[in-house]
Amino acid sequence: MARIKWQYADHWRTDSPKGPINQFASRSEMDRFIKQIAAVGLSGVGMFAWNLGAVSAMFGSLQAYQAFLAERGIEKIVDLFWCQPQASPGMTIHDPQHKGRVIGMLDHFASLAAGLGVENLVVMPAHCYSDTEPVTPARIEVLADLWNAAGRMAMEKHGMKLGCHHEFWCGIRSQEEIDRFYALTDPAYVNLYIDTAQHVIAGVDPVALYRRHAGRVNGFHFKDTRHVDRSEDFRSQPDPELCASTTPRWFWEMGTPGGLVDFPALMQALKEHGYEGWIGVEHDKADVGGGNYPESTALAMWYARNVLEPIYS
Amino acid sequence: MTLRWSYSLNQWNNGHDRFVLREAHDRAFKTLSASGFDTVEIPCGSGRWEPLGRKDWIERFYGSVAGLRRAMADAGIAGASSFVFNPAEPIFEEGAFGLSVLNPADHGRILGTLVQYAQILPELGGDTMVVRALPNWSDAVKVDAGTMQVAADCWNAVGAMLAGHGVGLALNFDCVTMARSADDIGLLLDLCDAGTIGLSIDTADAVIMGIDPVALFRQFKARTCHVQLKNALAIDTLEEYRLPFPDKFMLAGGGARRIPRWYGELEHEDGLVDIAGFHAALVEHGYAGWVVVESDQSPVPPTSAMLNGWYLRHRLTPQSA
Repeated sequence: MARIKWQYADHWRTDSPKGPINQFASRSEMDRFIKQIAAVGLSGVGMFAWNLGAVSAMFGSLQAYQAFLAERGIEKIVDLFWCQPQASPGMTIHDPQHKGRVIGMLDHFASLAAGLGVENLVVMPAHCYSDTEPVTPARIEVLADLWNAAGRMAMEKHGMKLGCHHEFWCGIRSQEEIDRFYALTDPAYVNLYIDTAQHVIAGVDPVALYRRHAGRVNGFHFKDTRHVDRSEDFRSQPDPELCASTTPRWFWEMGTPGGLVDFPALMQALKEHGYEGWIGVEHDKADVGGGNYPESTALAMWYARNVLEPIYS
Repeated sequence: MTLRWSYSLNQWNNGHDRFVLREAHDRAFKTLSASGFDTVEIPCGSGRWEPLGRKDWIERFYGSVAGLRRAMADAGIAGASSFVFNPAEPIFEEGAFGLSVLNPADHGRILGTLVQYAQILPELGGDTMVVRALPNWSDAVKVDAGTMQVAADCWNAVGAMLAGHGVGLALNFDCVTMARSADDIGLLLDLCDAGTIGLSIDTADAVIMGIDPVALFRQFKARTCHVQLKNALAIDTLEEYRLPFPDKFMLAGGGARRIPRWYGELEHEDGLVDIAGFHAALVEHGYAGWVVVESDQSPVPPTSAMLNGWYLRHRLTPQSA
């Protein structure tokens, strides 16, 4: 199964005597986090780009963190993720005047990770939908121009593939908007990073989406959902993942009862298209309603190992 | 000799109405499977909130014992290594609210209760019945030959009954038992049939009560047939095992020092048990019984199972990592 490797995407929070804490609280907590994900078969991690500084401070350097990971069975940091959900006067992604600011910031984060073998720079390619409106062809063209330039920078300067990750509340969210965006971007520099649950919530079939853009897909977040957004919850402010009118919890682990993502079909599609590389497992807000991140991660990896890997192999 | 690893479900079942639904069992089984374990130890239990605890409740929830075995297998769990029984716990279905091996009048009821486990253990792939060997400490009862003979009479009868089903009996001594030393434990063991009855060592409970578990194993290696492997985070230096209801006031409540947690994961940074040394002793002597890892007192049992699984594969048995 070496052609597919599983990595975990950073979201983690556990109870402590001080209340909820995450893995960035201490080396001890990081140790527990890494050992837990390694225990269930994950061998890479994805990180929010803005956490690189904390990790570097915790270990003295990112190289030292890399060694810490390796000693515990984790190969490396696979992805860096960045997003800017809200537009602001000082940072508006679809404002051509801010293009240099966006690229400069991503260049900064990618530079921090130099030498670590990070493969993907993953971004949400627009602000939230409400802050991107009107989502016109002209605006998508502006965004395409930005990400063509950012993708060139990421690849040519840092050897990282830029991947665009479309949250269900992202300014580029529908099938039509996504297709238009990829028609306007350069396949050499702009890739599609598929988040299974986010697309299903937005009414986009992630299996069909993968088949349509298979040559440009540079990674996945595998997570499930039990809901499709049929009432424009994607417009909820400030965070549609928390403030939606229809559900307090959008995201569930693979294999959850009632899950709407057809993971077996997606795995079959990956096999047919010869996808090789990392698949991310992600649990966003897994503790809403009494769940917990460790259990969701163990259950997801049980599903990955027992249901999905046999399809691919 | 390869050790036989199992994982206890006890901490998932850490509240009277917790761990009741089949969905909860399935999640625990899959969590343990993903963490590298394929066998579980099950606490005996009674009443509508203990669907795995007795044969009749297993049949109500799963249709049959075989139905439970199939559900376990579907989640990657091959079977159950063992059940754990404490005579002092209520058995609602039998009108029992505190049986004692020190009361000869209770012996027949204890034996009768355990017959069901002799029947279902082999069906679940298991072969070991673990029992709390003696009641809590009491200033009214001494550990002497006469008292231990009463207990031994009960366990010898149980052991003989279990042996008829291919099941062994393991006597477990936790940190609040009336047996306070290796000599106390030996006194009872010597009165029990070595062919059918062995010792269950709990590494953490031994340390909490001031006993070196490695030394305990070396002393009783020929009799040890079951291990509960977990770490201890504190020692009962105040002898709070003497408190009334020490399982509540000492272990759950923390005692006078308000110990937040007596038990920890195998690699816990504050752990007091020489887990690696104990494991090495098991290997050295060719121990062939079950080693049951536990998540006792864990606020998040899946976390403890995952950490313990990592430690087992990367530290204790790195060749399997």
